[in-house]
Amino acid sequence: MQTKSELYQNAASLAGLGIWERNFLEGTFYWNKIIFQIMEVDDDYKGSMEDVILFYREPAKVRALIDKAIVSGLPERGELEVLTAKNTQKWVEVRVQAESADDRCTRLYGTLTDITDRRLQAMALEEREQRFSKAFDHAPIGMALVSLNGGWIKVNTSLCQLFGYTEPEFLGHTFQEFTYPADLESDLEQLNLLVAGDIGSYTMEKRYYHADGRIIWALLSVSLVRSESGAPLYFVSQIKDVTDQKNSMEIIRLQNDRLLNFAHIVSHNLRSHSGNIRMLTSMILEETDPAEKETLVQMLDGNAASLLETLAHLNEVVKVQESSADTRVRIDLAHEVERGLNILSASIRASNASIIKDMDDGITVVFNPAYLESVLVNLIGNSLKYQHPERRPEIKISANLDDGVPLLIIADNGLGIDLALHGHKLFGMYKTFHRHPDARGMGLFLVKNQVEAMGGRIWAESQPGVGTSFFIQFTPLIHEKN
Amino acid sequence: MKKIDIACLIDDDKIFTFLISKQMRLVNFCERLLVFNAGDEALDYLKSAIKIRENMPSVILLDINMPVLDGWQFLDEFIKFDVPEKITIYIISSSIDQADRLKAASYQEVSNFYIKPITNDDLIEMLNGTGI
Repeated sequence: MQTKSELYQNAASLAGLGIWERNFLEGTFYWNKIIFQIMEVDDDYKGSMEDVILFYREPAKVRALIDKAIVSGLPERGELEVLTAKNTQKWVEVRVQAESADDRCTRLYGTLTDITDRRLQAMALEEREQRFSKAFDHAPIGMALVSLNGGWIKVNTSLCQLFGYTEPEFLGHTFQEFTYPADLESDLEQLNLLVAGDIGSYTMEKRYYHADGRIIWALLSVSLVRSESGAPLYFVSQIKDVTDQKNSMEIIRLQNDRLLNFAHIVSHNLRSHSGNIRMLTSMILEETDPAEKETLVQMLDGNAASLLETLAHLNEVVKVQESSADTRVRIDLAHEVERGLNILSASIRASNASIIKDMDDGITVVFNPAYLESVLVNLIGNSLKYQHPERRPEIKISANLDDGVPLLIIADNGLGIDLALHGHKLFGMYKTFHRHPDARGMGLFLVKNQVEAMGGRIWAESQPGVGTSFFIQFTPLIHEKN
Repeated sequence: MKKIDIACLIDDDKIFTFLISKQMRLVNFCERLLVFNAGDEALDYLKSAIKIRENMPSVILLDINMPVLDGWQFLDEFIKFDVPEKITIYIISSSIDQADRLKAASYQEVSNFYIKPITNDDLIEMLNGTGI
């Protein structure tokens, strides 16, 4: 059987626990085997206290630790760096207990453990955390740590700038409160997939509210941090502002649509004329009967004329597209409607139309004056042109400010258009929907181009046999820079 | 090559309809040509012709861009009819837009797509393709 002392020795070795003692009364010194190994000295090493203290990189710290133990009489501990006999750098944990008699230290004993591995790990971890923290705080994109129920835990400077809130204003709220309602569900769906472990991360475009109430478009990337056991801890969200890109994309999309539409017009309308001209010329060449030849030449002449007319129309369209903001001036809407009605006064009288005006006073719009005249004359003119044969034409012109946005409505009780059937080509060039001798299919096409070139929007509501209403939304004045 | 009995031309461009009628006579395209300047007029005619099973065309030449009811809208209505005999439909258009070609191909009732101007060779090809 082992003695108790042998058992302690073995157990200490097993635990890697160095045991030491200095007895100042007896002048003895004891190290167990572990300490010899830690310090990398020979088994017969017998250093004085001062010699041993010099193994430490900062001897003053060791002395301070010992002094503290002597003064307190309690166990003290410290983590210190040593340079061993073989010049190996190590971190050790030192525990010291002092015994004193008559205010003199009689005995010191304690333990010594090699904690180099643990210490390096901790340092690496700390460095990683610092690096993450720096990357987080100074990232050029918005970053946030978000709790499992959506609460903001930590947000960085970029995110604060993006949303217009300070960090304290974020905390205590959830991302759900900041999210544009229509985009919340798809975000939450993906979040659930993430928590369930079905996906590792997700990226989506979504909208948030800025502190000043406007909408921000953002590219959001979310990943989930889990504990060692796999339990979800918190989300790491990266939020990049893409509002400008979104807006530019929208402008490009609209411009592309217009360009494509124009290419169609050019392709179709010029080709139909040139196709006819080609057929005519080859027939003229083949025709032997002089009278018939003369007819064909007459037709060729007519065709050349309509080709020129089409080119003139296309030129009008190009001019609208080219017109820039500097052609815009502030115009009183009611005054301009009055002018439009004056221009059409002959037709209004001729068709005995009743004009009802319901215009709020003082509505100013920013528009090219020639375009506004064209828009009004075309729309009111259409109401007269496409009147219902069985009733007196009634045209109601109303204007109001809807949340600061001027809205003009021109409503009639005319023929109406089946929008389910024709809605998609209502504003198309050379599209006509009624067999009217004057229908050219240019009016609404130009009107739409003119309204859109001025930053506005136009749409229609109609019921066949009941009437048609055109709505024009103008650019709000507050968005104009003087 | 056999002459077509009745052909039907649906196009709002009066110059074009005049010219192609003349060309059809030159190549001996058909016995009778029915010309409609709008899709709905043609639909009305075809509806009653199919009902009484008389004076039905065996070929329809159809333009796409027309006022009121365009070529596509005509087709959407026409394919609902219960046609007793095969009627071959050719699209004739000024459109060189690939989208229009693809759209035409999506209708199994449409046999081919010709771009204006229509040549004598085009008409002869239609005659051969009709297979009567």
